[in-house]
Amino acid sequence: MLEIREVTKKYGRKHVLDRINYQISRGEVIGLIGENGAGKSTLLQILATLMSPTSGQVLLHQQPYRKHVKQIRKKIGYVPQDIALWEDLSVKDNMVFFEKLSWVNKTEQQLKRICTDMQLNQWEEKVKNLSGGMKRKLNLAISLIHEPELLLLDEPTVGIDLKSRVEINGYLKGLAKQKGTIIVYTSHDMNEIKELCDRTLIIGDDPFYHDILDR
Amino acid sequence: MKQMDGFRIVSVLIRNHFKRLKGKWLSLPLVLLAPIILLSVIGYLVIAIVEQPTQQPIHVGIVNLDQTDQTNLLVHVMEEVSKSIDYIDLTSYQESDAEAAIAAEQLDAYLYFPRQFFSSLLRGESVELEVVGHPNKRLEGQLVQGFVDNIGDYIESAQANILTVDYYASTLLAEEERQLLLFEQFQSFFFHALAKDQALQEHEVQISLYHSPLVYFTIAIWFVLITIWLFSLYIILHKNEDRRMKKRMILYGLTDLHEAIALLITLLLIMIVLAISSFALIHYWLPLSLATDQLWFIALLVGLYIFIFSELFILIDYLPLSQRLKLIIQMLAMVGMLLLSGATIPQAYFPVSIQDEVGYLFANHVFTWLEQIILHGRFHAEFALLYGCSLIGIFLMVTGSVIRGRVK
Amino acid sequence: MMQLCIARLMLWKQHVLSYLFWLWLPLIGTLLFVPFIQDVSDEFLVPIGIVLEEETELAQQLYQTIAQVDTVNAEQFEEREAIRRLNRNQLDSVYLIPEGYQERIEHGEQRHLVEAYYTEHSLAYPYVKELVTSTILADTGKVKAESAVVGLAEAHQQPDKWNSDEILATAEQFYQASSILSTDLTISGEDQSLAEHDELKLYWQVWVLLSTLSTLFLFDWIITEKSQHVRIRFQYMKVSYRCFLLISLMMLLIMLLLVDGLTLVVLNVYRGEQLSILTLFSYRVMIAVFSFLLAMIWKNRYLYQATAISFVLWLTLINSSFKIEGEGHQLIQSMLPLNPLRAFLNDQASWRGLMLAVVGLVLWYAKEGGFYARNKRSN
Ligand SMILES: Nc1ncnc2c1ncn2[C@@H]1O[C@H](COP(=O)(O)OP(=O)(O)O)[C@@H](O)[C@H]1O
Ligand SMILES: [Mg+2]
Repeated sequence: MLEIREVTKKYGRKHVLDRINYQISRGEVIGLIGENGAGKSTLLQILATLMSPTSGQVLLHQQPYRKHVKQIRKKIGYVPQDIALWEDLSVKDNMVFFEKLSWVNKTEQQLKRICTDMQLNQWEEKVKNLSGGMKRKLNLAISLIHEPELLLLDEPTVGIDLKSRVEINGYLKGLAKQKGTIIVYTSHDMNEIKELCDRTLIIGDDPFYHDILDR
Repeated sequence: MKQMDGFRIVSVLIRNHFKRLKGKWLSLPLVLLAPIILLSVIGYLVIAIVEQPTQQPIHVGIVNLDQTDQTNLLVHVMEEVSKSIDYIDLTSYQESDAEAAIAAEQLDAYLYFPRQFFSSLLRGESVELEVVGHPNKRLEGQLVQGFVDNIGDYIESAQANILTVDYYASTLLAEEERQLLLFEQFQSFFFHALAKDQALQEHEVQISLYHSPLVYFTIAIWFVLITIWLFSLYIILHKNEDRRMKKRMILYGLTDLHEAIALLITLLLIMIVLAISSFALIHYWLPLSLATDQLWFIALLVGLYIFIFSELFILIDYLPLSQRLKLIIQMLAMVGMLLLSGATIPQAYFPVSIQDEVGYLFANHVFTWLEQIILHGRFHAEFALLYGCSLIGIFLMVTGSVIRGRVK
Repeated sequence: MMQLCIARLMLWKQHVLSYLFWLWLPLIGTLLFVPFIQDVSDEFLVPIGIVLEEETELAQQLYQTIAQVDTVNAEQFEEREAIRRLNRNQLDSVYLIPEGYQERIEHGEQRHLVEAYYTEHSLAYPYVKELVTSTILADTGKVKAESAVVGLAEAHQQPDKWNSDEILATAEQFYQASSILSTDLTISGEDQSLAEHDELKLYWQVWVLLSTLSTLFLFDWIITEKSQHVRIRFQYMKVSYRCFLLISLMMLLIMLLLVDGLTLVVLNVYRGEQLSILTLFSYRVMIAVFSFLLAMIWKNRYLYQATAISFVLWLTLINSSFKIEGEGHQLIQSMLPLNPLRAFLNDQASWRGLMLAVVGLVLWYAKEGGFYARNKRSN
């Protein structure tokens, strides 16, 4: 279970997140929604331990982040907004590279499985020759190597074709249902959120999003 | 997308170069100043070597551990000799006093005559004169060593002669008489050696308008400086374009040739300002006497030099090699050109085999004519080779950019 | 640990040819380049003109002696031609041996035996003049010694005891045997003598310059790599990115040291140029860490490479002893105590440089860690 308690974030004087309280249980898919610059990425980074809140705290399975950063990071899969891959390496080499550095040991078959499960089949292709959708898939696949209990995705489907988007979303749903992974997902596309997520958390106080959600 | 005409593209690129340079207001002066500092240090050293040092005399102590009549004479002679040399002042000392004097900075260095110095010499054994320098005055220590080396040469040449005399005298004379004779002979040979410069009757022939090599060195350093500036500017300007801006420009019909022309013009504009202002400083400082016509020749020579060198750099960048290799090639080209231009090593000292061919290198050509005009007061320069090189460069650039355009 | 090394190798594998090239460049470049430098620099000679107005033995001998000096290219000319060439700056200086040269020496004359012409551009004139006067001095000295011996014999009423040729021959022998007076410069309070360092190790000199350049180039991947987004993933890995970089530094260092070991063997055994292992080791660690830190600071790869080349050019300049004879070279050396390669070229281990490198590395590690602690983990 992931608990967000009174989380507030300020950049200097600028209030980005104001006393957010939220609880997410296993197997749930949560959508973070809000306009650009609302603070979605900020909250996601706080959840990903990449940033600490100005006040308030976050707990994963009753463990507070502040005390147990090391253990908690092992359970987190973070899919950054920017594509974080070795452009010069092949899909296979990217997977193997991060497997070597991760806490788990996997065979090449297991790694390839992760990719094929989300229809990423160009195993030997160099990343720089992949299409945007395939890059996004690999970006996600790498974050799954160590089988995280909490998966955080920052706009994972931005700017890609419909087919890849559907494939990625389908895969994520399956993951939550079968393995009980907690998934937090940001997007500014309402339809996508409605279709994929169990619940939605609106960041920022733009009444526009509240209205749409109510409808 | 509407095609922009070539002039517009080039002018946008040039304006962009200047905007970029303005953003580098801090690093740019540093880049330009660094070679000046470097070259003036080196130039100062070279001039200091050529023009004999005229600063404060160096104070040197002599510690004579041998204490025979002969070494005492030698020390005396050295003291006398040093009086006629401006830059060295010799005084004899006790060993302990000498060390104290060095510590108190009264002495810059001292030198030892080891025990048995003279008798070793007479026996034809090797001896060592040791110079001890002050830790903060290494340069002075080395000058002293040079001086002592000279004295050593005199002693050495006297030594062989004395040994000859001694070889024959030993069959004729008793021990005491022989020692006396050798002492006399040593004196005589030593003074003979001291006077060796008199063997030459020297005539100085003035071949340039200026009496000292200072003008030559200054012009040479200026030439090197301009080359280094050009290369530094090239590095700063080249490869510095904004990616996004470039993409947009490609839509308007930007090609490698536009970029090359813009870079050439920018470099030429900046370098002409730099060259003229630095030359004006030199002109005022030396001072040079040049007529207006000569100044025009110089301007044209240097302008073409900058132009051809920029072309060369750009052409090297067209090669399908890695960035590092291209940089190395450019650097080697620059160093090679400078070495063969006659500005770093005067052409007279070049190997005979390349003396003639080297004249076809544009850098050598330019420097030779600069020398002719500035040092020898000629009112003429030949430009055919330089025009030829520029045209070939332009031709290759056009070809290169077309080929590169195709490959892309 | 093993897995981390494999991971790094996977990244390097992409550019394996370029790494191999830069890794081996110093050794191969040195072996190819040094003979070339030697050939070329041997051909840079001081051109002087000799005018012989008489063909006597001593005159010929003077000409031959000067012609044999391997830094001088002495040619014989007619007087007018020689002066013409001097005026056109094609000769450094001209020496005219006038009619009656031998005779005057035999009469014990010493003044104005030879006429010398030079110009304000005769850079090597002091050097050549020294050469010529020393040669003349040896001749006049022998004659002087001979006359002293003859005088001695006459004073003892045995005028025919030795003949002149015999005496001159003896004198010549002593000349050959002499040249045993040497001078040595030490600095008060230091044991090492400066003169000992002057021994030229051309192979190592060239090697160290090439090696500095290639080491700087071998580390330039850091500049591109450190600014990539992929860095963020290391937060969830076994090791932090700085740790991964440190391991990479060690791996590269080990590879460089292996190549250095081979270089040492080749240059020591094959070329007979000795260098101590400690010197090489300390230089290698220093330059590798220095390059590593430099690449961490730099943002633009191209400017880093340009800086690297300029730096090496500067090192070449202050370390080159191309034809800069004796004093001048020493002068330049002594004006630049900041020469980072001085310890290496003197075959000394630079403990100070090594300390500096290690301290720099520790500071970098601490700062990089602090960065994460401040910005990423807990405020
Ligand atoms: N490191 C930072 N320093 C200062 N302000 C920041 C920083 N990162 C983000 N911001 C600001 O915080 C706000 C929220 O940013 P972000 O979380 O990226 O928004 P979103 O992902 O919802 O578009 C933005 O206005 C942004 O300008
Ligand atoms: Mg965002």
